[in-house]
Amino acid sequence: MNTSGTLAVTGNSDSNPVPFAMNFDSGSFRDRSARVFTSGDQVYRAMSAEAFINWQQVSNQAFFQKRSLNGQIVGTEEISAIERAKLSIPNHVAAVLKHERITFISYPYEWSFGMLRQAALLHLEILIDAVTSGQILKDASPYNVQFRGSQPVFIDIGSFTPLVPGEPWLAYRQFCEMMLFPLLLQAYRGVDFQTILRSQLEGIPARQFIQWMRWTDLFRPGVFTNGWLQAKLEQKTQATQTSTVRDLQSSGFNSQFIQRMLKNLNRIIERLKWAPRRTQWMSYNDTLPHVAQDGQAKSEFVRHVCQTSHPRMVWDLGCNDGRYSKIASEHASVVVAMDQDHACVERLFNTSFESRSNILPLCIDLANTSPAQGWRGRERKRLEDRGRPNLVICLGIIHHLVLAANIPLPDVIDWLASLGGDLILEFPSKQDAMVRALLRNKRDQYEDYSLEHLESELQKQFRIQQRQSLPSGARTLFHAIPIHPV
Amino acid sequence: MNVMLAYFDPSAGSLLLQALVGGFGGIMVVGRYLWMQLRGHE
Repeated sequence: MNTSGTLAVTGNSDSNPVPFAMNFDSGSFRDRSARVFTSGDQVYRAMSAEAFINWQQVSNQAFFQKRSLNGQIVGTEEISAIERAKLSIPNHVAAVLKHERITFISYPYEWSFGMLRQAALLHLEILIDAVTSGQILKDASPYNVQFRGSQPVFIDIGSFTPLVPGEPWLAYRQFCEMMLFPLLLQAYRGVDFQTILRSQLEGIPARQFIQWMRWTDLFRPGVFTNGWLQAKLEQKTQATQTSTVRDLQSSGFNSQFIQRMLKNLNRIIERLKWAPRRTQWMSYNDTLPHVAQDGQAKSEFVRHVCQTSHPRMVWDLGCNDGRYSKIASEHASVVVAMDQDHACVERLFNTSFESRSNILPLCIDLANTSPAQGWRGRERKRLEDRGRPNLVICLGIIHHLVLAANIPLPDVIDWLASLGGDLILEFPSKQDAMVRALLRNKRDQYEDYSLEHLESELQKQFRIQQRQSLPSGARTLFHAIPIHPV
Repeated sequence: MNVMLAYFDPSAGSLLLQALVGGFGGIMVVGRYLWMQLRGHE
């Protein structure tokens, strides 16, 4: 495996072969037969001969065409010979597919419960259709689903293969570890799965899942068979000289068993519910006086900036109920709405999913954003490397970063500038009731936390386009434009 | 750690499970599978 993400091969068999470099996506190396690469703004997939035949077969199926049309399977087409020549594709690549580009790539450890649930359901629905049509998905990774705004899209076209009669679903275990067990943990035990999936990129093994369950949970749908029994079978199955897949084939296994299991899994996940405990952030916007006083002015400010700057991608940091994300979404292609509170993100996802809006809500702790990780630290990209926002909305957050997370103010401004977009920033002064509450039981070591210092730091990297005091009297809004756009 | 276990694919258990949850027909498949394993070790 060439891990640099670049495959260097020689061109035609002439005497002076031309070195060719194909920029593979650093996270697309597990399936060698259908690797993703990019060129400019376009996303392509280099197919082996076998993978290309599989794609031709599945793309002619009615279910595939229907789900592609309604946006549940990523838009895909084979590139022309002219485009292939322009890209200098080497001869050993049988065909190249071009995919619709998803504006912002997100990862399961950033999703809320509802998002992972929708990803799992889409995966199962496509798989049930595929098995009915004599196909199967060889992988069951939630990374194969992305969100176009609030709607899930299946992106791993290379995962479709012909169903081999008598062969079990090889990805069942992966489905349990990466989708079913995290969902059951959240629904039955209230354990936030994001931190686990962030550190265990391959998911939660059955043995570990069972340790989190109480014995009474064994009677809840999905736990006994998929969890306990699977864990026991994994422990008890002895190493054999023969292939379990072939032995099961010759023992009479057939695809009806797969269909039955998929429908059972679908039923379990469809009925799963997670009722988050009410957190302090869920009623934040309804209960505090400054929110009521300033809300209208902030909404108008955000609307005005969006109307004048026409941002393509907006990041709303600390989005809470998403009221400013919703305003921005009327003017942007996509709004990535981030909050560390899982309950808030779940609530925003549910409303966005229902209204099919272009808001992508994510669980992000701004003081500890998603890092680069996986194989050689390149498989999963850090949050900031997955797209540049044209506008960053940073309302009611900076005092938490500086006074609660103890991040120096210049560092916060530097990070915001590094994102590269325009900035809408709200600064609550030390006279603000919420800032006073944050400092009530702390030694005030925050001499740098002042309006003057903020403006001076902002002006190092931004041009202040607009400044407005809010009606509550202790908060100021800024619209700042980067001096040196990234 | 048992050296053999390091080379053992634990997904074998999940493959068997797919037959086990397949009702009466699935249990018959598992029975035939276990019979084959037993005869293989004779």
